Formats: sequence, structure tokens, C-alpha cells
Amino acid sequence: MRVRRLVPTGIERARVLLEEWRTNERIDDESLDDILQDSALTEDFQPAIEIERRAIATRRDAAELLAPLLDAIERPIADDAGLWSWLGMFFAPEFPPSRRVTTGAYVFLGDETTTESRRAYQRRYRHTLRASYLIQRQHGETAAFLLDQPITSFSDLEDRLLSDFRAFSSVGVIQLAIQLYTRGSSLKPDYSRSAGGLRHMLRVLNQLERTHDVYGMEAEALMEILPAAFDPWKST
Amino acid sequence: MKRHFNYTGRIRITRSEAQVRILEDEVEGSPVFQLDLNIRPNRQFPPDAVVRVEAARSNVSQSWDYGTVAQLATLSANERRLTDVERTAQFKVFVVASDGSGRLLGLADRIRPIQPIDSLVPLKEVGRETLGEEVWRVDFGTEGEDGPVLLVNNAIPGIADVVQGNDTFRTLIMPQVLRIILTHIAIIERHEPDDNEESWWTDWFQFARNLEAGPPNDITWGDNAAESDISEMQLWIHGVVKAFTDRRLHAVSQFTSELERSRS
Repeated sequence: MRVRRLVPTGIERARVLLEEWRTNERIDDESLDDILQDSALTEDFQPAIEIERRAIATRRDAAELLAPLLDAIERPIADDAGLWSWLGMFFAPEFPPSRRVTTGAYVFLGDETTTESRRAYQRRYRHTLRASYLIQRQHGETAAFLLDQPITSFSDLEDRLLSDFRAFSSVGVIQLAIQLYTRGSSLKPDYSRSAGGLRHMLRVLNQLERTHDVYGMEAEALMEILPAAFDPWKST
Repeated sequence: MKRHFNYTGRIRITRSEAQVRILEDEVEGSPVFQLDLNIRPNRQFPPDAVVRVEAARSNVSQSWDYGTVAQLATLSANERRLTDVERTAQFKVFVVASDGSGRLLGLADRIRPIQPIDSLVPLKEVGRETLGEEVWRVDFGTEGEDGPVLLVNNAIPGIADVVQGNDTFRTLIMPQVLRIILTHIAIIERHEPDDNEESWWTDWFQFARNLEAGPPNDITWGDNAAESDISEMQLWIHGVVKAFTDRRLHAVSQFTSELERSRS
């Protein structure tokens, strides 16, 4: 199918479809495809891109599928609500939406539980395909931990790092967080709210920004300037 | 009087030392920035201090390694393309110790890039005695020889920053600024696009050509223009403003984004 953009009325219609899907736990594929190609609900996207539905288990799967298609676009697309909403709905059958919509990753741009544009805009970082693509594009294998998570995973690690764009855009900070708070393919226990934990780290980095180029530093250099409260996390 | 204490040792690099300009011509569909970094010698940064440039807007950013204080990197236009952030992104210039410690020696913060049209219509702050309660006005001077100036009312705190960097203001005002200037050139003063002399108005005809909305050849310009030619000029001006809002200002989408941000 050719990639299109959902226009605002198309997003509204897709939200209704998604709500029915959550309630009934099934989706009418024909209705979905009708929406995705309806000229009143969608508009052309340039350059023309052909896309096929494929199983998506992890963020890496999504990023590897999207990168060859989107990397060639010579303009910013991170905030293109119509594009990401269309892509979200196109791949929705591959990962049916969770009923726990208050905590899960979203299919739509932003918060799919509300039509209020302010809140939807603030929470666009939760769009799971967008997040997968941006992690791969900005960090590649240095963020392998995030890429190898299930597509619908959304822990506090992801929430904090993806919602803080300065942290997210820093290769060093992302690496630092992964080094401190993950072990193998798992998050360390109590990694988030403890002393020296993730939330503490982000607060400290904001303070250190007065004296250091925090978001341009490498993880090793950041490790050196963290206060002693973080030492236990370095060694475990 | 408000006093500030600087305990960080970090030097604040002023906007006059670090200017960012968005170039008129895009490269492969992306806007290109130009950094003019003229750090004052009395800053006494180590020559090998590292320079890093960052542009950020919304929740995306782009970053460039720009060499050292003594030897700034010469990046090609292709390398200076804004591919991940909008042309209205704010820039920062970091001067960092070269020892790998990440220690920040100097910072230029919140640099709003100068957009192409701004280089053609300089900004001048004036008081209420000139503008009264008007926020802005395009002024051509008494002789009309020096080109247009955008007068803004300095009774509004920070008005220059608003004009140069506030998308809401720009999307509403700059198309009208362009329309006023082109109308003045073509219809009031009857200047001709093929004038050979180096005049300020030739820059504006070129501005239109760069938007692929150059003045049509099949109408009579200048003092001999008939009523029908004037009508064609008005259509041309509408076309230039449309091209500007569509292709450079992206006015509707910018304005929509700004509205969404202002509600958040």
C-alpha cells in the first residue's frame, strides 16, 4: 500500500475504530484499509513510499522496516502527526492495542486516549513506531537495549528518556542510563526512584549542565562527574 | 537593580559573537544554516577548546562538531542542512575543554536564526512617539533610496526577538511585510525587474525569483504600465506571497504547531 497521511478527520475516525477494537477485541481489516485509503480521511504523502504489513515484535523490527523508507525524506518528519498516525494504524493489526491505555505505548501520535490536542502533542513521544525509528536513527546500536525491547514495552526508563528530548538526543546520556540501570536484557531492580536511580540522574544532569557540556559528553566522561550517590549503580 | 553572580566560571558568549543565519537557498529540499562565530579575543579560550553547535526544537535536535576555537571546521552546505529540526530551531554554541572532561568554558544560548527575509528588511526599534499603539510598520524613508525597514515598537519588551523568532508573529506578519514591499516596488514606485542598476529593489525581484515566482515577462512594468498590467502585478504579488508562505514560512503548519504549543 502507498503511504499516506491521516488528516484530522481521519485521525478522529481512526480513534473511533480503535476504541471499538479495544472494546470488542477484534478489528475489521476492511474498515481499517478503507480509512487508510479514503481520500476524505487521508492525503497524499510525498515522496511516494510503498509499504507492506509485516510482523513487528521488537522496536528493532520496526526500525529496520521503517529506516529504509523514511531515511531518504529530506525534511523533518518527527512531528508529522498525519504520517505517524497513518503508519500507526497501518501496523496496528500487528500489535493490537492494549486495554491499559494509560501506561502502554501508543499507536497514534501522542496520547490516543484523548482528542485534546495539547495532551496528545505532549505525549507524542509514546508513539511506538516513531520512538523505534528515532532511537535507531539517533543512537543505533548504542541503544541496543531499547531496540531489543518488545514493540509495546514502555517502562519508566523509556518514559523518562524519550520524554526528555535533551536526554534523548544525547548519545552519552542514553548510553549512561543503559550502563547504570540495565543488566543484560533486563532492568535492574528499583532502578528508577531510588537514590542514584534514573530520575535522580536526570535531575543531577540538569544541574551539571551549568558547568559541563552534559548532552555532548560521552558516557564514560559523564560517569566520572556523577556524585557518589551513583557509585552503587556503577558496580552492580 | 538585579545582580547576577557567575560561580560557574563559564563565559557567556553574546549573540553578536555567535550569529546563525538561514540561507536563502535550500539544499536537497532542506534549509541550510550558516554560523558566523566571531569570539572576542579577550575571551581567552584555549585555542584547542572544542566547539559544538546544537539546534533544537520541539523534542528533536541536531548537533554538529565545529572544530576548535583556533580552527573552526569548514562544513559544506550539505553538512549544514537542517534535516531533523525545523528552520526555526534555536541554536546553542558550546565551547568545551579539550581534555575530554566535558567542562564547559563558554556558551551562547538561545540563538534564534536570522531568516532569509530578515536580511533584506532590517529591523529598527522605535518608540511610541513614532508608532503610537502600532506594533509594526514598514518604512521606506523619505527618499526611498535605502530600502524598507521594519519598524517595531520598543514599548513591547523583547519585540526584536519576537519578530525574528516567534513563529506565531512571523506567520501572521511577514507575508504582509512582503506584500507591502512588493506593492511599493512594483505599483507605487513603478520599478522594473530588469533594471540594471544595483538598487535595493533588485534584491526583492531576485528574492521572488529564488522562490520560483519571478516577475512575468509578458506585462509592461514601470511608468508605461496600463491598468491591466497593474492587475497582473497584483496577481504576481499574490503569487510571490503564496510561494513564500508555502515554501519558506510553511505558514499554516507553523501557525498550527504554535497554537498547539501555546495551549500546552
